Amino acid sequence: MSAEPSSPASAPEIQESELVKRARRGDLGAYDDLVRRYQERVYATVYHMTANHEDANDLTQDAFIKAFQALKSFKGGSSFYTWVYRIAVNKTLNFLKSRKHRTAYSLNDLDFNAENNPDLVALISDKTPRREAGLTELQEKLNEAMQQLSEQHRLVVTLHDVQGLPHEEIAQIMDCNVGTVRSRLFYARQQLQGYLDDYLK
Amino acid sequence: MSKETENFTALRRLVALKKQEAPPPGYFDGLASEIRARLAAGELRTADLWQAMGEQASWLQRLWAAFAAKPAMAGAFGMAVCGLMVAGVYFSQEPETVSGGVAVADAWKPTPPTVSPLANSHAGQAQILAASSTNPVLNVPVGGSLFEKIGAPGQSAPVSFQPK
Repeated sequence: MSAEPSSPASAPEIQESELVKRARRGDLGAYDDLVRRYQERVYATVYHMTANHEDANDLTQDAFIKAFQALKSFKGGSSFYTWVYRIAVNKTLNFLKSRKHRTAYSLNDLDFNAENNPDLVALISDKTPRREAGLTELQEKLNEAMQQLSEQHRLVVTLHDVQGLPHEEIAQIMDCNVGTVRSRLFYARQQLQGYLDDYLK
Repeated sequence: MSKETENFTALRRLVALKKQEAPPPGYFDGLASEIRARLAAGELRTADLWQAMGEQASWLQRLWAAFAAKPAMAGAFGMAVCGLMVAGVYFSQEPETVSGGVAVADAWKPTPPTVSPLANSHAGQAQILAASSTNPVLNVPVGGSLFEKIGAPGQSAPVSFQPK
């Protein structure tokens, strides 16, 4: 589920532009390749924003379908990845605004590697005051804390601290400047720290 | 500051737990297939239809966008349409007047029902009952029928093919 920051390697870029060109001509096979290339990252972002697998599934599908329908308007000023990301993010933000009440969480299971992650093991070690907390409880508390952030702050944390995107790319996706991204990130971390204080001592 | 940074480090480690949340195995294979199936099944056709409609009715979209941006304008437009409808209903029930102020309804005189020349030829026999807008059917006695004349002398004779 972890996402690597987009690395602008020349060969994959050419391949991507070729796929985009073919998809623009209506080649569903080429578009399928594009979907498979970016679906995990797009899904992950939407999932971390909604904390609901079903919503994330629907929004991810809608985002890719809308992207295909709007492919003719894609000028190529940014990478296809950034462009489709923006579509997914906007769809998600609209969805969250229209959702009047929070629906129940539908969290994905933790990967089996989580129990072997030294950083995570340290969080539930004897050194923490809440050592009785298991990873699942931590996961729930973390998601609750994330959902208490505003959509914009949650998005910055998701894109940077979870997805690992650089500030510049986040600024492109969110259509704001890098300074705004940094300040939002700082504020969001402060807020999260307050919510999760018991687990960070 | 160092304490703050240290805390953020711990926080980032905790937030990294979210990276470990994964959908069910094989989910992404199905996701791509579902997207492709939806595209092939008709979302494309719908999109083309909307695009075609959009090209032909772009003014409608602009109007809609203007209403969405300014709800007061939409309300005013709605009230204007309702006003026009009420006025239309009201004036449709009013009698039309000529310039002299005389009601057209008063000036109108009912014309007698036109009777066919055939009926006139039997004017002595036919009694035309009053025909009006509530009783438009002319009651012509059966005696005025053309078929009565068929048997008149000199007009027709039965033909016999038997030898005399």
